Amino acid sequence: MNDSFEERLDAALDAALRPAQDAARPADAPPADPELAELVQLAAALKAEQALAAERPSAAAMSRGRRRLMEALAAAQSGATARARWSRPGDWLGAWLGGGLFKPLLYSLKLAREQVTLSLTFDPQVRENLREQFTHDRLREVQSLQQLRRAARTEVEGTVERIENDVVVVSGVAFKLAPSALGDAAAVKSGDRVAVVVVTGTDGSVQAVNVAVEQPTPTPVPSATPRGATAQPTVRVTETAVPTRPVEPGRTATATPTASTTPARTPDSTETPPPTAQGTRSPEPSRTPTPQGTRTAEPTRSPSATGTPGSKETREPTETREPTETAEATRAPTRTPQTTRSPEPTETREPTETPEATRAPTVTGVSSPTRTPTSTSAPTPTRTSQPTSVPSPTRPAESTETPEPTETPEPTRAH
Amino acid sequence: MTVNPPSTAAVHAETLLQRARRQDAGAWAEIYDQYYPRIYAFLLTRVRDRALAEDLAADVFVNALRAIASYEDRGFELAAWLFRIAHNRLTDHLRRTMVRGSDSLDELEEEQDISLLAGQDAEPAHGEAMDLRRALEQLNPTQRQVIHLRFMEGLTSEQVARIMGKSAGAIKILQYRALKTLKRLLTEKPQSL
Repeated sequence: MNDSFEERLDAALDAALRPAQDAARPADAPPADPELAELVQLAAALKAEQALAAERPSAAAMSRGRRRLMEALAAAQSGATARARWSRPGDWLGAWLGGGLFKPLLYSLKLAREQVTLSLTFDPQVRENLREQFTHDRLREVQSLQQLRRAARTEVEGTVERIENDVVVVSGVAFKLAPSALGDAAAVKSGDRVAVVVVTGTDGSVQAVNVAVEQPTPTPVPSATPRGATAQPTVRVTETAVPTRPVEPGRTATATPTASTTPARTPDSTETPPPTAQGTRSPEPSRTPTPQGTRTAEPTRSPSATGTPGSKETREPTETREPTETAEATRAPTRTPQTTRSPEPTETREPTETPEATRAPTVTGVSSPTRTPTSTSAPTPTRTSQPTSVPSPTRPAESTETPEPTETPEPTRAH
Repeated sequence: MTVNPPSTAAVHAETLLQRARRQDAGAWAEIYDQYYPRIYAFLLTRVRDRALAEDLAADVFVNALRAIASYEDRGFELAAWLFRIAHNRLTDHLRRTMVRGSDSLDELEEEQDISLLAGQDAEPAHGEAMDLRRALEQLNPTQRQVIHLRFMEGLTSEQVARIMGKSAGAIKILQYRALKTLKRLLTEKPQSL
């Protein structure tokens, strides 16, 4: 035989290290080759050493591995069931999809289809029946998972029938509340409609890991959406316009018109009575030019004078300060022509300009600077009609706000 | 000519296998309890990381469950089949963890062999011969696997060859070299400096 040394060694090792069941066979004689015998002896020592020194896995690792195996086995069993169910002629696609990989996908598609069905069902009664049906299906699925001892996570909806300690009974099925769900469950009471996240274990346990009370209002009924949609804006309106009204959601439609309550905001703008203050300012400029400005101030008076029975009063600057007079001026701008007659001709021009408050400043601006425009703001007395604004004369310092005369056009409206 | 009746163990193994094919949980639990420690020990000869060896061993049984339908006992008994799955799982793991993914496993093993052989000459301290356990650690991973399967598991060279995807001749050579290296490590005393 031309066996190599490796071949002979292998045969000798087979003979020396054969399993125990063959031990009845007479032992082979040790190899004649001393090197071969030495290596066989070493192999025997090695076997003994390895047997002694063999490391064993930890009990925890074995337990983990066994659990994994059992879960895989359960999945394989359910996959086989699904394949058997789909193996009917024509259901080859289902059989292909029925594998473990696609099963979760199919299930999620099923859930999505249910949601679509619900959202497309407008009849409340039919819709409610459908919901009940789906709830029943979910609960039945959970029970099946429990019986099959399959590890899974799903969500069911239903009505709480009873809740005591760490058990909640939803639509006839009892769930043990996981510690994580105890907090949520504290707010749940019998009769509530809840969504429960359920986890089933391979040991047949069923635990509710999350319990959430469903809010009835956000029902996605299509017909309800317009109501809800209109309701939201009305809420906004009521909030901003009249805070006291938001309690009346039924008037939502009317509430929007109440947005016209924005007039309530006008008081805000009226709060900016500076215009009226300007009316009071008009005297100020009249004071400054007292030497000659009294005349320039006269234009401002001219309106007031128009209101006044006598033009003589117009000479008295103090009178021009009186808001009541200015108010009158706005009321009867038609009288201004009369005033134009009585006093100075230049003044007659001005009244015509006064309606155009913005122009007046330019005219008067020649003789007396920009302040005269403020005096032209005298027409603004239209606001002075609001007595509340009158008291603000304390703001004369704001005479710098003369640009506001642009609002003076209002008097023209008075026309 | 008489035909020896199958042993009780063989009958039990066949029954166990049939039950396992039917996805019987009890059968799989028995297989797991019987083989998990052996598969773990085999993997540990290569990865040297207990936690990793435990995880890989668990993978082996899940993979076996998936492949049981295609398993046919053609003289390749269940234990050898499981060791084959373990070797494949190990190969996958090594390929994923190795930086050079294009290398063949043989090349990787050779590389490891070289690196380990370089340290093979590491001499024991205190001027004493190396003990058997420490000497085993000095073998390269492939040699360790062969030694484990051959002497610890009692598998034949042919079975080991099928498990490791090598020829029987290659296994015999590996076995010889491993024993020779061990002998040298155990007998030679370190040279004093």
